[in-house]
Amino acid sequence: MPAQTNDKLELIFTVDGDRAPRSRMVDGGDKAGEVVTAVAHELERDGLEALYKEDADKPLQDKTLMKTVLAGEFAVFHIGGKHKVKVEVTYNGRDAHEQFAPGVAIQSVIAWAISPKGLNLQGEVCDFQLKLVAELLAPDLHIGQLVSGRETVHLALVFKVKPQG
Amino acid sequence: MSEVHDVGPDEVALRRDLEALPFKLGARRGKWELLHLAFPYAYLRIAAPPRALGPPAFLLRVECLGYRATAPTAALWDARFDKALAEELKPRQVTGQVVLAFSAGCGQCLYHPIDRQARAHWADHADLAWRSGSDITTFLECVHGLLVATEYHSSDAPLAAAILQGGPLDGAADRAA
Repeated sequence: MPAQTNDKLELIFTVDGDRAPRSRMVDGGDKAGEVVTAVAHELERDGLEALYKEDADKPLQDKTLMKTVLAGEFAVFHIGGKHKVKVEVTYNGRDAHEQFAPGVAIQSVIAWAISPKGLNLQGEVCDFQLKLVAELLAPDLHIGQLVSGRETVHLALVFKVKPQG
Repeated sequence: MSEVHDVGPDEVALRRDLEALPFKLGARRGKWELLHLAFPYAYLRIAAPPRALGPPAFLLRVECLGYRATAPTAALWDARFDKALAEELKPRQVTGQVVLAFSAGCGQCLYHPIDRQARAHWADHADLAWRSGSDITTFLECVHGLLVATEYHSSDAPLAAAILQGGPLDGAADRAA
């Protein structure tokens, strides 16, 4: 259940181009579109247009009530553009491309990358990591957090390193 | 009379990060839980994935002297005896060997480049090491990632080893809140 104070509900979310998760108390009667507008205004950011549930392919409709959005099990959300994020993943000289909604988590990108639709690799999601240049990305990071526009994200898929000392 | 407790900048920084959203988010996701803080030691329960033989969580003792300028050092802990988890109870690979990161390769530490004591054992692996901007959440993500990897096959550790209640650490529950 979401944290609740009187009629307020806690929305935990990330936004495009920013690594820090955020928390905001909202009214159950607020609409998703109103929350997005308020956040974009407070952050003085253009391009924050829609609210996504983590890993959802499409944004929530602007008129969706927050009490509906936040009902059920705990979830993290993302506020980003309405366009998808272009992702290129390379592995051992091979590459694959796909477009993801900005609220898709890195571990879901890995799941696609190792699947037959991506690079068709053996192994489990938990045994791989994605790197952005030299940085290993946390599995819960949203792909939209890596972009602030329509640029393509270039990631390297690596087998989880097991240092041998 | 209450004890005078000088709070240093490392403890201030740790307490601030334990109250910060990234740490709380990991807890809400069920990855870890802060059980006890007696600086410089933080005791956390780290969730483990289901295995045919293995507890649902391990206890991790993290020593945070010099935090954040200096990397923490940590070890899987046994709450029943307030000491490092015995070698035979640690997470094992399918071969029966202890998962390297939890082995006694550098004594009582996490045998991984992110650990302060273990860092010198690796000439490279800079991308796995503690760096500017790393915090307690970075460290815990690393430990949680080691446990959810398929390399971890089984453990004989009882759940009681990860429960503070009734153990030597009980009664000092100084939650960071």
